[in-house]
Amino acid sequence: MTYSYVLYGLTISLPFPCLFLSPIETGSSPDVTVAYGAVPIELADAVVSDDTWETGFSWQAATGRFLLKASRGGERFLVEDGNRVTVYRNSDAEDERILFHLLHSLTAALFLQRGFLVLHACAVNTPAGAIALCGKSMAGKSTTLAAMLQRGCEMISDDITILRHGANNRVEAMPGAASMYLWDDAAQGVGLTASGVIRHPMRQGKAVFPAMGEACRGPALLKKLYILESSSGDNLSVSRLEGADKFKALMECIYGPLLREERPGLFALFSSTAQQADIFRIQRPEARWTVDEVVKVICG
Amino acid sequence: MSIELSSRIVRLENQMSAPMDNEIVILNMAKDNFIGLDDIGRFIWELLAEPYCVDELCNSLSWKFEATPRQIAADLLPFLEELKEEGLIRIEN
Repeated sequence: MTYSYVLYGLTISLPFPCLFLSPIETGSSPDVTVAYGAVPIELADAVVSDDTWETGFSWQAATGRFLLKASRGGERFLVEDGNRVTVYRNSDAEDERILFHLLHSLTAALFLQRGFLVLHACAVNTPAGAIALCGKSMAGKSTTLAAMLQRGCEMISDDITILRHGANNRVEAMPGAASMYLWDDAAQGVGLTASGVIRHPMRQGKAVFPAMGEACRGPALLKKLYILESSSGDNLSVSRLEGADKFKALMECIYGPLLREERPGLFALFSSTAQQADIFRIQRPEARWTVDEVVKVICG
Repeated sequence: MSIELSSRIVRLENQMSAPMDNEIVILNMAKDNFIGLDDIGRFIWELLAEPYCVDELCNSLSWKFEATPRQIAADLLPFLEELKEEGLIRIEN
């Protein structure tokens, strides 16, 4: 049996149900098919890879292919040509881990292969347009996202923001799953309770929560992008980027890997994004910061 | 080989670039980075879509910016060397 959903505007067929995605009834072929099958242990012609296991998984990439190993000896995945994900699972495989990787690294690989610009970012929609919050892991993206949702912004996506050219070459952020991974204390800070929720499969103290408030139903024009980062200074500072610095900042935000030979294909989308959106760095003190300060900078 | 006034130079093929604020931003595939050029750099970059002799370039810039060719050459030659170092232009002759 298969289950059909919408994932960032594409129809996807899964061999298992997924609580976090919107189900659809469809008789036509899906844009993306996820199926169980054989997956090689290595990509013979990998161009880049990370085998350190520092993030809890390892991966290899070649043009049009991405291999992820979620555990040593356990499940692994192969993403091909932006339309196919093969899942190898054995007795060591865990459903929560499979789902986590599917909605994160595998989704990123899928959409990069399809020519979208994929950012390691959350995004919300406001009356003035979409705002993306980028930053490395633990920069405070999801915490800030939750606070902005609490203030009435609409949820677009958590952790992955997918951009495409829409009508008239305007850059749009596509709506993703209406859920977010939060640390328990951050969830408590916005009035969410951590009991009865699905725990993060690789980070203790983190769980997935349904997004608060309204979810954005369709693509939203990107207007601003903030890069959250910590600094050794005492005060929060904001700087607006210009020129080539905007491109360099966007490159930092990509939910990679983006192969060198793939960059020309994305240059037009890079340019449109940099031209359309105001891009800022928010540097917050490492030792002391409040989400209210950051939200005040973003929302005014 | 250093760039001289008699050198004939041209951009490498298939360079991608886009205007951004007051700059032009070039995707530098040779070094895997982005290069931003200001308005003068952009003017030069656009001229170099076709092969150009450096002394002719000096004359064009001299006329546009109302400086002597010698003054122009003093800035232009190091700038062109930087572009060559970045892998964006080459000497034709």
